[in-house]
Amino acid sequence: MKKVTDNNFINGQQPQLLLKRPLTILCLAIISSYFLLAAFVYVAELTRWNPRFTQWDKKVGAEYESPNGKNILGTDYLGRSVLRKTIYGAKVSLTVALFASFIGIIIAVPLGALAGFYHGIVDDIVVWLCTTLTSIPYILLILAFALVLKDKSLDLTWLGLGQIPLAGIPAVCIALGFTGWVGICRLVRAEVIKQKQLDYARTARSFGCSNFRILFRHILPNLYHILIVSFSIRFVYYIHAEVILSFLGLGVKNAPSWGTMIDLARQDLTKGCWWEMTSATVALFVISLAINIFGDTLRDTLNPKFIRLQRIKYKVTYER
Amino acid sequence: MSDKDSILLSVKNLSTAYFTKQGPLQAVRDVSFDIREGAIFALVGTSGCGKTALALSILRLIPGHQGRITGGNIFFNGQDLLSIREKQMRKVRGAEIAFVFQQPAAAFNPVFTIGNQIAETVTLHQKKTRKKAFSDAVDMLRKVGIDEPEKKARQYPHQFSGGMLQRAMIAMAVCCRPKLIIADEPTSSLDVTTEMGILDLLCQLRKEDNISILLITHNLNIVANRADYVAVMQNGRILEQGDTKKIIQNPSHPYTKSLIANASKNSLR
Amino acid sequence: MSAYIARRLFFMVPTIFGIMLITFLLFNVIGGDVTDEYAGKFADKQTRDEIRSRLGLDKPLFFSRDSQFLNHLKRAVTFNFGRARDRQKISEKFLNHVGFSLALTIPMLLGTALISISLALMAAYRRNGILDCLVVFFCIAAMSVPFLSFILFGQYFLAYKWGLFPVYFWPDLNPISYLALPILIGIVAGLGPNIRFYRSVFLEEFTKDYVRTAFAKGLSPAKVLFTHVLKNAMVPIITRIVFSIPYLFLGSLLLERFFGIPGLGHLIVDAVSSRDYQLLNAVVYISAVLIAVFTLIADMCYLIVDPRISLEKSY
Repeated sequence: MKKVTDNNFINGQQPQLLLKRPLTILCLAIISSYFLLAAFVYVAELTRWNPRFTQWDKKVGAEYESPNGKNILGTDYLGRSVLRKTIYGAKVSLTVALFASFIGIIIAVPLGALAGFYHGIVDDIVVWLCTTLTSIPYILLILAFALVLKDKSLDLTWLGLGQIPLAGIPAVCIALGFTGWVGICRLVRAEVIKQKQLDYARTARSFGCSNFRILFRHILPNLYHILIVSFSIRFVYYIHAEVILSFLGLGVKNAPSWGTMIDLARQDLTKGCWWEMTSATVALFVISLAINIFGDTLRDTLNPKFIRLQRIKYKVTYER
Repeated sequence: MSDKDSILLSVKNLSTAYFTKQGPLQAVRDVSFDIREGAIFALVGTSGCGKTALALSILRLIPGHQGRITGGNIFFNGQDLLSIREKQMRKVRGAEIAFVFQQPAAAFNPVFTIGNQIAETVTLHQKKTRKKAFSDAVDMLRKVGIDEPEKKARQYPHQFSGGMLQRAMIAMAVCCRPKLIIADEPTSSLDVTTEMGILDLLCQLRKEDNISILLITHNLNIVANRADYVAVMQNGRILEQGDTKKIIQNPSHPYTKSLIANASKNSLR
Repeated sequence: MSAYIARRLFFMVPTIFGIMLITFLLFNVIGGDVTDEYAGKFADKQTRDEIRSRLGLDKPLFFSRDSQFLNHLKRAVTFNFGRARDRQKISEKFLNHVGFSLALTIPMLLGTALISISLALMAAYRRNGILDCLVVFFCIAAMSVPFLSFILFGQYFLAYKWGLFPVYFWPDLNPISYLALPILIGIVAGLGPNIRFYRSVFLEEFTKDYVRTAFAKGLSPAKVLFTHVLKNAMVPIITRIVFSIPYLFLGSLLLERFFGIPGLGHLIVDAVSSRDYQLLNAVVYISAVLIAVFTLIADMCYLIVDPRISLEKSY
């Protein structure tokens, strides 16, 4: 008979506020710094300021210099600074992912909302479209889009913008956006259907709100949490997709992106030069990790079913 | 029940806590009681008073991330259940102490047949072939009063009615001849007639095989008619316990008094 | 049963029609006239016109008896894909290359499924325990590394530097040796998302009552996990596995490209770089049809696994 000692409770822990966990703060910091960097490069380009570290195509040293004091991350096969290329790559990758996500959301949300709200023929058409697009393997669809758009250009002269070539970044954005909207659309549609049954929609209607008003003012705000979570998940996916596309030659053309850097890395590696590839991979890894963790925590907080239970330390000393 | 009957299960100072969002919640506070051989011991109280937590604690069925037993001893068959290893505990579960759950529809695995699930317990604790185990299962179903047991044993839980499922659950509990059955509100989800059938069945089992029953319920009527001993629980503590007749005729605690007053007068005789 | 199949096949028709429409729009409408690609820069007008009529691109797009769209439909329905850029029959090309792709992807699927299901089950069992935290951490980290990096690092270290595997495909080599490394890389890279998915499925199952009953009967954790919980989780597991079967045929574009394995994926990448619209068109169409068919098969598998689902329930 083992005597049982008494227990100590660590009582009253703080509520699980998102921002109070150090890991989340770290992730947020990382994400913000990437975006700030990218924005900085953007601004620098637009204003033609050109500070030194956005000049990625300037030869700064001998070819294939390994990391040293002058070029922290070494140089590539043309003598360009890997560090500058990585920073510029951040801008490119983030831009692509951001625009692709936006295109996806812009297409998906109205379609999904309309489909869920007005059943019948509208719903049938949207569901048919979604089923058809999901039947085609994602990779193939993206490849096909990117390939087909490669040499085309958008004729926006009527907007005063002239001919916009669709090669490179725009093609990738469009390809990713036009194929990725389906998943979001399904989520939105399911959620709208669910929300429509709830009481507040009926109350709004009984007060004389028009359908449109109900949909956009009342139901849509309830979709934000789904959109945010799926946005964070897809963002990482788009960044990686851009890498693959660039590798296959369909991606960004004139600017260094992490994808093109990794593509170049193939030849580098055979010469024993690991820095370009490592730099791009690490940059990719860090931002993906940060967004993944942040997205996960976001999802757990917003989903009532998975609220984490408190851990308590007990000091019971009976043997098991 | 005379005092000569030996004590089968002895719970001493048991405490259990659940982990919740707001911190640890003490579900069972320092509870002690004894169950004799062949007795029906009722545990009464309203929902949320800790009855189920207590029952689960006896068999150590609370998963590590949900809660923990924080103190006490449970003596059964000469050993303290809280101090034996998990492997030995598994030998106790089902074979010596069996559990009957509240909602049989959820408690059975929907993708296996009833006979299969009962036979599983048999093969686990007794060295029998699968065929023999299955025929044992059929016998058990017959024993608990299910018609056409051979046919029923091959059916799935969703094809049974609520009352039949509860009988099947009891069959699963007694198939290895345990010494104690813990029945957690076995009739709460059933209608009154079916309820009577289940309770009769439990009493019959007690008489035939001398199985003790820890009957957890919120219904004082059942207690008055069937139980030998009763303990009243509130907020994780046992307020009073003892011989059923004595407690009902002479409740000492105000809570017990209110419980009795709320129960219908007709059943209390 | 046959009525059910007939009904499902009937509903597949609009989808397949939609697929044909989209491939047509993509490759013929948006893609436009590929005659110049085929003819080269210096062909004269006569050659170009000849090529154009041979390809059928001089006909109107939609609105005539002989329109491109109708031809497209006709060819799709009869599975007659014509010839690729290098004048070899597309169907022949498929058959030649599919074998390599399948030899690569089938072991990958099996390995990933086995490992991720077991790991996810064990991790979900003790939620937030040591194994669980490690597994989740590994998954998130693995998912944050782009697939390309996996391949590059794997190829560089395991094959090139340490010489454990051959770096590239060579027909004379024993198939196992040149497939081993790609399969290994594929499995490791694929574990991340799979484990996360299965883990969430199992976590959901663990909240159900029958798990508690199984423990109350005295079953060991291994038995409860691998018999009771697994069988109940079969529906989403089967869905995922069956859905990934059509992708097996496509092979892995990146793995085949890097290791030079002449599978369907390699074919596709070549087609992309040489702008071989015919071939791509055929590939997209076939895989889409496969996916639609396997969706149906997946649904029928549910019936075997879950006795609660009955055919009479409307779709």
